Amino acid sequence: MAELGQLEKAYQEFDKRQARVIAVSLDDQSTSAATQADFPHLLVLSDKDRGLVNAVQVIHEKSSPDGGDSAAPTTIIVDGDGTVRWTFRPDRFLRRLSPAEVVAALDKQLAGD
Amino acid sequence: MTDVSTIAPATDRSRGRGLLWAGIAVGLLGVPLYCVQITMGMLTVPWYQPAMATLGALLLLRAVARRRSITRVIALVVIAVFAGLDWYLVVSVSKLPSYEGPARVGQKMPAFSTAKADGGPFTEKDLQDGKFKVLVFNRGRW
Repeated sequence: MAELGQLEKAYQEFDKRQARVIAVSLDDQSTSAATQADFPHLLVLSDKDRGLVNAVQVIHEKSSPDGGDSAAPTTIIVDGDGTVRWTFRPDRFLRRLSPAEVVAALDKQLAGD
Repeated sequence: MTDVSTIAPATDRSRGRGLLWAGIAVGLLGVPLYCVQITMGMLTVPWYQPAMATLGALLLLRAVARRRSITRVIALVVIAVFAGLDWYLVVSVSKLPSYEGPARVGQKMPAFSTAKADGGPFTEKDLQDGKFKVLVFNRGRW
């Protein structure tokens, strides 16, 4: 959740670039609603039925404390046409991208690199 | 009659005591440091944590070598086990497989259907509104 908190704080950087941050997890709807309330500038998706995580195959099996699955930390930048422009998966789940790193990647894509 | 004291002299008992406390402090310091790191939003791999626990165990080993006591041996075992668990977590448990797709650069996002936090539907079509999106998959709210 620290990652989402950092992205929420940096929302103006994304607004400036007319980009939206979408947070996806396997949390159920009520839990996702609480997350949405905490981070109002992000769009929070509740992918409990795994429609999105299965489509992009980011399931990390048996990785949650209760032994269940969770979404492997992954960042995907998609352009306005729905085309994937950049993907990132850290080598360890303890590592996450900082907002500055996400914005830098976004800027590179917006510049058409 | 001569009194024979069975208690070791103070100088003997305190031999290596500094190492004992330094070992415990250094061995456990990584935990509050990691909390500070998270609070500051620095989401990097805390390699310092197992390294500090290992250093703590080495200091405790030195303290035991100076003077063996139950307390010192227990502290050494606890910190050594802690260091081992730390290395296991950082090196092995936290490792993620590399991402190979099917979301590939230059290709459309695969078709999907999911829900927003308010229950409304959300599909790949919602990504095609002319604006960039940053999809952040996360482990959720534990």
